[in-house]
Order: sequence, then C-alpha cells, then structure tokens
Amino acid sequence: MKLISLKVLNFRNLDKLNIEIKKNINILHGGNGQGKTSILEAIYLLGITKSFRVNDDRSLVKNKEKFYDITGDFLKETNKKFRIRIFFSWDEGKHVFYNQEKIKTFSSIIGTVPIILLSLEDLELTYGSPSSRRKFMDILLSQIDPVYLQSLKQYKKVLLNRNKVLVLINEGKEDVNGLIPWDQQLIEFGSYLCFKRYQMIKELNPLIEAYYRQISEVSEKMEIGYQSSFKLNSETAEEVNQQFKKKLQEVQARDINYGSTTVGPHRDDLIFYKNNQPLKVFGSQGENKTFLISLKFAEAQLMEKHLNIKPILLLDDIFGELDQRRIKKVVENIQKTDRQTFITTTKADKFKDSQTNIALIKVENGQVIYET
Amino acid sequence: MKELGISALDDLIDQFSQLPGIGRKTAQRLALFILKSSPEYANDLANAIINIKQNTRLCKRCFNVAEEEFCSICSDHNRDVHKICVVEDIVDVMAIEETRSYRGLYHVLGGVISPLSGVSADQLRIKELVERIQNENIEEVLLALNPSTEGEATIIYITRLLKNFNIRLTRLASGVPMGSHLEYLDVATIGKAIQSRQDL
Ligand SMILES: Nc1ncnc2c1ncn2[C@@H]1O[C@H](COP(=O)(O)OP(=O)(O)OP(=O)(O)O)[C@@H](O)[C@H]1O
Ligand SMILES: [Mg+2]
Ligand SMILES: [Zn+2]
Repeated sequence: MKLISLKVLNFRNLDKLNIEIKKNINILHGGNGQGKTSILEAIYLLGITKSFRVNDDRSLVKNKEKFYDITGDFLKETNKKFRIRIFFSWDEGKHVFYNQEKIKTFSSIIGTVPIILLSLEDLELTYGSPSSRRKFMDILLSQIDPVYLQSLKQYKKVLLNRNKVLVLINEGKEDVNGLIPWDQQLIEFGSYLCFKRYQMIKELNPLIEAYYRQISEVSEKMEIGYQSSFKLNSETAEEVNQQFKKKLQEVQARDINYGSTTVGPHRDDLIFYKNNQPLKVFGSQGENKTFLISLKFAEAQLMEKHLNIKPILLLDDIFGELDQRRIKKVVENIQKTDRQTFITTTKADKFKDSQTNIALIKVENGQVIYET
Repeated sequence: MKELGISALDDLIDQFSQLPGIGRKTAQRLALFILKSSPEYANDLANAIINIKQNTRLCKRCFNVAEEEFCSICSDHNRDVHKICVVEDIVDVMAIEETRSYRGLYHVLGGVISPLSGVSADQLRIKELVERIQNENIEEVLLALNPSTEGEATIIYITRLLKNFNIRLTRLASGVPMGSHLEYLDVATIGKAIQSRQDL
C-alpha cells in the first residue's frame, strides 16, 4: 500500500497542506512543535479513523477553526487507486468516505489501509498499564481480521451487560440464571479474542527475535509472553472456549461478589522478556527501544503475510536512545523491505547524503518544504 | 435560522424536533411548510395524529397495532395459525410483512433483554408468548430478533424457556449482518433470511 498524495486542512497546526509522496522512505524533519507528528497523525487517521493521541476529535481541529478535512490518495499493490477522506466539524460530527461512498460504520474501513505506528506513547507499552498492551493487540488484529474487530465490539457490549447483571444479582434483584444469556455470548466472543491473540503472539515471537538480533547485533532471546486470566494452552479455538467456560463457572461467586467480570480477554496482559527476565525490570532504555522497533517490524511482516498488502509504517521520533550503529541497522532494515515509511526526526543529517529512495521533507510551522 | 418569537411556530418546532431522526433544522423546515400549507392540509394532519392515538390499541393476542380487539393479521383467516414469528417491535412486523415471505402470526415482545437500559426479561411479553404456545396449537416459533448482543441474549433466554415444548424453534439465518437493524435492512435480505431460517 502506498500513500501517493495527502491533503490536510485545519488539522492541528497544519492549516493547508498538500503533499505528493514519490519516495518510499519519507523523512519528516524539523524543530520541535513544527507539525511532524501531526502529519503522521493525519495519515494514521486515514487508516484507523481515530487519533492515537486523543479520543476527542475536537482537539484535532486547528484552533479557532470549525472543521478538519484529511484526504489521502492510495495506490494498491494491484495498481488500483482509491481515496479515503475523513471530515470532522463541530456541527456535523465525523464523516468517513471511501472514494465517493459515505461509510456508515467507520470500523468497516479498518484494514483497508494497514498501518503500523511507533509513537512516543508506545514507549509506555513496556512500562505502562495492561490496557495499553491489550490495545496494541486489538489494533493489530482488528486490521488483519474483521471478525476479530466485530467480536471485540460485541464482547465489550456483552461484558457491560453481564457486569450489570452481576450487580443486580448481588442486590438480590435478579436470578443467577439471568447470567446465562450473557455468559454464552461472553464465552463465544471472548474465546475467539483470546485464541487469536495467543496465536498472534506465537507468530510474532520468532520474528521479533530475528529483528532484534539484526538491529542489536547481539544474540539475545527477546520474547512476549501471553498472560491469560484463565488457563490457556491450546491449539484450537474450541479448547479455548472450554477453558474460558470452565473458569467463568469457577469464579461466578466471586464475580457476583465484586459485581464485575474478573476473567476474560479484558483482563489479559503481555509480558516482554529479555533472556527470560522481564524487560520492564531488566532492560535498558536503548534495549527497550530496540525491542519496540523489532516488534513493529515483526508486526509489519505478520500483517503483510495475512493481508497480502504491505502496511504503511509511521515511526515517530524513533532514533532517540539508539546509538549510531543501531540507527544504521534500523535504516538498513527499512530500506530492505520496500514498505512505505514515514519517519519523523529533529535531526536529518544522518540521511543528508543517503540513497535515492529517501525523500527529505522539512516541516516548518505547519508547512512542508521538499529538499530532494 | 433565528427564532422569531412567535409562540405557535416555536411550539410546533419544539414538537417536531422531539421526533426520532428530526434535528432542529429539519423541524424548522417542517413547521414552515405547515405554516404555508392550506388550512385543510393542516387539519387533516392534526386529525391523523389524534386518530392514531384514539382509534388504535394493541392486539390482544400478538400486541401488534390494531383497530379492534385483534389486529388485521390475527383476524386474517388465510394466515397460518400454527406459526408465530417473535419480533422486538411493531416496525419489525411491518418490515417482515413487506417481504411477503411469511404467512404465519406474530408476537411483539416490546423490546429485548437489556440490563444496561434497565430492561429485564419479565418486562417483555415473554410470559404471554409461553401462554400462547400452551393454549394455541403452535407448531413453529421463529425468533426474528435484531442481531445485536441484546437480541441474542433474548433468543438464548427464550430458547431455554421453550425447549421442552413440542414445537419447531427457529431463528433467522445469520446472513443478516451483525449490528444492523431489521428495519433498515432491505426487503430482499429479510425475505432470504426468513426462507433460510435455522433450527435451534
Ligand atoms: N488543535 C490545534 N490547533 C493548533 N495547534 C495545535 C493544535 N494541537 C496541537 N497544536 C500545536 O501543533 C504544533 C505541532 O505539534 P506536533 O506534535 O506535530 O509537533 P512535532 O513537529 O512533532 O514536534 P516535536 O519534535 O516536539 O515532537 C505544536 O506546537 C502543538 O502545540
Ligand atoms: Mg513529534
Ligand atoms: Zn394480532
């Protein structure tokens, strides 16, 4: 997938931006606060329909303006072109268009433009809360598998209803049997989510290890462990279904007591390991960064395999904490793959005398200036 | 548009804007349309609104909208009285009738189980459904509920209640896209879903 042109109106500090993208690797460089991350954010929105920085679209609209408007023209591997447009205004809310067609359910276009993002927020993936790690899995799997996205949405609704029933039972206003219609659905959707996540992590691990070795040039065992809230050690979706069902029955009394569901994919977590020890505790900053970059490359490869489309990589400020050798290896890796990549950085010197497939794009006060 | 301080106009705009799917702007347009229309039209419209409340009630048997004790479907002798199609709301009866692919009777539940919105099973007309199955000579119950998690929960609940009756219990085939509402589905899709219903 290639983004060939990007038009942005009134988005963050970008008032009117028109970029033609001709190269595979695009270095967005410039001083702090000039609009580099905002450009990545605009591209991200075209694929995911939401920002990675904020939930409320109103804060994305340029100050004093009433709407933002982002249009991207894309070129598929099959040489077909299409257009995605995201429009938001204070009065009319958000509208998503695929070519001329207005999209009713925004999530239905997720996966059309597969996107892998490494943002500053991702540094928190290792150290932050479990919910950020679940979100990481959900965004990746939702792009690969529309059934996953549907199941996730349904699961969340079922969970809210089930929790409400638990509270009602606790207060004596509802019978224990009132759980049955919700449990059955919770198990169905939940076990699908767990199974898919578990399989995905298993597929990612060897890839992460290989990329880590390439970038760091040391042979270390990097690995993600899936921590499930129930015993999950299975090869088939049906077994996961049985395991979840069994656990849900075991904890029913506790759930009623707490008035909330204490097991399921919404309670699961990931642990990142370096040589079998948690990276969170035993990793250095640079190692963590190297791990996350390896993870993103691994994600991209996984996505490519499942979708048969090369994702667009958005790498925000990735070179901090890395030594020159590792930076060189990362850039080498990006060049090898032929994936369209957008990299933001404050210092572009390392690319100044580099190869022809790199475009240097200077971002200054919400405007872009091409240099090559 | 600025409000003009004419209370008869503002009242009508307020009333219209409470209708589902009608925003402030549309309400203003509708009110102005009526302002400019002939007195006869305005009268007919007002009467139609009053009539719908005065001259209708819920069918005693299926809770569809009716003019008499029983609705037009329940009083139609050409319908198959051994089949009941269970729906959430009256609009679903209208949607299914439009397909002309179903000739049995209906049962309008008046909602679906939704703990979050405070709707529990005993607030729906499920008890009445069970009574009908006990008293009428029913051979098949088709659960035609919207494919939401709440609709699904209601199907699971009713299936458990009815599984010991000697009836064929079916649901719409899952060609119906998840998260969509029956009333918005096109006629052909619902027709197909009814023909390819699945046994529970
Ligand atoms: N809604 C908005 N309207 C106007 N300006 C905004 C809005 N939201 C953010 N900004 C400003 O836009 C500018 C660009 O932000 P952005 O995050 O894109 O900078 P950056 O180039 O990535 O900088 P850094 O190198 O510091 O990461 C910032 O000064 C920010 O305060
Ligand atoms: Mg930035
Ligand atoms: Zn009737």
